[in-house]
Amino acid sequence: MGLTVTTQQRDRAVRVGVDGDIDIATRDELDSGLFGAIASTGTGLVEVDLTGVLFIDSSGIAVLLKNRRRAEEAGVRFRVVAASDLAERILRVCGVWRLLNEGLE
Amino acid sequence: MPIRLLKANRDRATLKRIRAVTDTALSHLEVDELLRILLERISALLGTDTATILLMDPSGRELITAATIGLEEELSLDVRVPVGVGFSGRVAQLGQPVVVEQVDEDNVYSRILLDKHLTSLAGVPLMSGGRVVGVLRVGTKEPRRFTEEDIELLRIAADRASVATQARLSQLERVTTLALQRSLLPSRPPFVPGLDVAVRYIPGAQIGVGGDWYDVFELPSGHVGLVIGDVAGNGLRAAVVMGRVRSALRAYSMETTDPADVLSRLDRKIQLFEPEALVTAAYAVINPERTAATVSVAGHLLPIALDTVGGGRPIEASVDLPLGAIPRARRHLVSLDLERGSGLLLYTDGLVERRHQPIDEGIDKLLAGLTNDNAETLCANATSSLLHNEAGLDDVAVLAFRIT
Repeated sequence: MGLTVTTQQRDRAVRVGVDGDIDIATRDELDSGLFGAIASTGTGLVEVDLTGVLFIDSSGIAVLLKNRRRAEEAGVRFRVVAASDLAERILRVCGVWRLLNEGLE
Repeated sequence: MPIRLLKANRDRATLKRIRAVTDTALSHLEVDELLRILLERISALLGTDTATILLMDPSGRELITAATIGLEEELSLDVRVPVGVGFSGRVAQLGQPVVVEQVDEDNVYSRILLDKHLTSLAGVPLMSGGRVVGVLRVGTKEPRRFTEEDIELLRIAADRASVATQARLSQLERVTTLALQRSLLPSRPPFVPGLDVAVRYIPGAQIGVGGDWYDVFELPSGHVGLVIGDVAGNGLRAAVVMGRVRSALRAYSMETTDPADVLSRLDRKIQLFEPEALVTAAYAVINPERTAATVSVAGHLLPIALDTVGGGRPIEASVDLPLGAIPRARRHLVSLDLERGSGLLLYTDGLVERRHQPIDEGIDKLLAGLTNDNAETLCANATSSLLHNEAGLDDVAVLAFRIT
């Protein structure tokens, strides 16, 4: 299943909407979408919306975490602000939800 | 001859030219042979004196001669041309056909082309997935004009060459990855006194060999380390990183028997030397008496504690961040009591994650299928019931042990 990554400026943040399955076949699209958002944000805030994501495997989690770190190094706040139940559950089970959602360990 | 017939003849001739380079019989040849025959046919069709295929080296900065016929044939194949420099270098840089009707010192890189008194050159890029992977170039001693049809024919031949060379590359990578992966993941775990251990690795249908790994080792102190992990990514790169992470973990296991400490050290090593890598792992250390284990979990699915009567449930532990996620992540450990017949089942996400189904459903199914059997049977049952004897899309690793 393909992946759609849309980016829009919303108030102070760049909002990245992701739709589709995030796996080994689509992780590069997500990666370049997030990279673009981090590079283009003027306000230093990137918000990722995973409401349209119903599957995310370990390579997808890796892309989210790598971009979170990339953002941090660029002085940009990076948060996953919403996710489908399925995606949130996977991120929780893998112990990365709090970091991605609240910026906490 | 009526014009229509003329045109029909020309079309037929064109078709014949195209067939000469798309001939399916060519696909049975080894790549080197195929490239040489392609060059011979192109050379004959276009009446050129030399024809050469150069391929991009892995750095993407240089072209290396892969096959050549005609004037340059007696020369070594190992001619390298920097991208952006000279004729072939320019074709590679532009990613578009280039024609030079009069060769001079300014437009060629290799002295050879001048020394061989070539006058006209035409080159097209070999493309794959939108990237330039090489250059097909032809040349003549006599001045020659290359028509659009000539260029089109070169393009078709270049496509053919590109498919063949890329197929060989990916074949080579697959074979290498598999060999590396097999050497790192023995299908039988070592014999460990006091433990019944079994392992499984199943490559994914979609991703082939990935970065999943397991490891079992006994330390001089009598402690036993058991680890399961997942390096994000697939193919040769993931397998190479997995190999390094696996041996680093072994090295740290000799320094301390605290699994959280081992994972913290491994995390620091990954942050420094593999900054692009992201690794999840669950690491358990069993004491020499085989009465207790300590476990630390880094972004990984919780291991399942196996009881003595055929049941099991995920251990109660905090899942810390994956290795490589943030600097100095806090790591925890939990202690578990072990007795004869109890044990642990460790596994990677490919076993339980199914598209558009809650991950807990997969875990519940795994728990429901547990039996009182030995480690080997547990691994076999878990993989066959959850994967239905078909490879999932992701790769899967499973490790189980019981105290004997």
